[in-house]
Amino acid sequence: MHELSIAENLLELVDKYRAEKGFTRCSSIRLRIGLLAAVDEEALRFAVEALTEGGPDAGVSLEVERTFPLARCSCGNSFEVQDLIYLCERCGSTSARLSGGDELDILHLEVD
Amino acid sequence: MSTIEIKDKLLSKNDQNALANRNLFDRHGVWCVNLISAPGSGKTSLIESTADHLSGRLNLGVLVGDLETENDANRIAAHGVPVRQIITGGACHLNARTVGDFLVHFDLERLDALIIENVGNLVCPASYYLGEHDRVSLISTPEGDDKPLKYPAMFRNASVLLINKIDLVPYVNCSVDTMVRNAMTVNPKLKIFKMSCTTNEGIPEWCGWLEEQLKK
Repeated sequence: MHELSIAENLLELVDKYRAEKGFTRCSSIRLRIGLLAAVDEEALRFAVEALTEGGPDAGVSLEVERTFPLARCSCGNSFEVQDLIYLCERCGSTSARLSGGDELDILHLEVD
Repeated sequence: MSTIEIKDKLLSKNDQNALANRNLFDRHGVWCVNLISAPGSGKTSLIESTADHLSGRLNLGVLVGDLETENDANRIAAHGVPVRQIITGGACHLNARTVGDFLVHFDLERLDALIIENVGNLVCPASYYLGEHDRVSLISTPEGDDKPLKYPAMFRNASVLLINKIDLVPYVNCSVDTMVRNAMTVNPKLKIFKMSCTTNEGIPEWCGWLEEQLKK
């Protein structure tokens, strides 16, 4: 359910850039969302569609780039985390540190 | 048509508001805890027990978030601590700006610690930093020992895990050892306390940890 509030934050950012850059319509937004951010893409699309309806950005498309959690082991090995098990295949250690996978970033806007 | 490169955090506004809260806490020497759990795990009971145990030892304040009613605030106020209720009117989590708006109702100079009882929800509050020093996750044994694996975001960014209702273990299908192992899989750095707000077991240890943080 927090997708609605994330969509509100997203559109506030779009408005901030509209005031700064002086464009009229934003037609596309590219986002990077990590799996660990626990954001449902469909719910986010629905919220953005509902919030932009009747406004200058109505019909704006969302391009979402998903990222997966990566772990970095003290032996130097980096690997994608499967099923939340941080087992390093190279040295067998389970003390790998998580790097990434929780991104919630706005990357760029297509504007007219 | 043109492209504007941004590379900004989607919740950067919330992060800025959270940082302002954090600065305010630090300026007044208040240690802030963001308490997160599912509905019914025992957040309010934990705060009641904590307030009783710490009475006369430190000055606690409580900010409570709920979708509706002031029931929790009324329960906590009966234990003699300053409390404010945020009624979110349907929102499933607290955000930093709302918390900041309510901080004006506290005499922060008189407080040593502030516990923010988040809205009961194991998904949404994870994304919203409120400016807290520590995030504390609470689970209760009837919820099942695989909870940390099902809702990893809630445990990954926490510094403490409280396992509540351990007095119910004989009656529910839950292994506390498995729960601890699952939690450590998600976050090996978690400090874990097993407790019961009914028998008071584990409450002194948890309160001791809280008092330790104030000395930092």
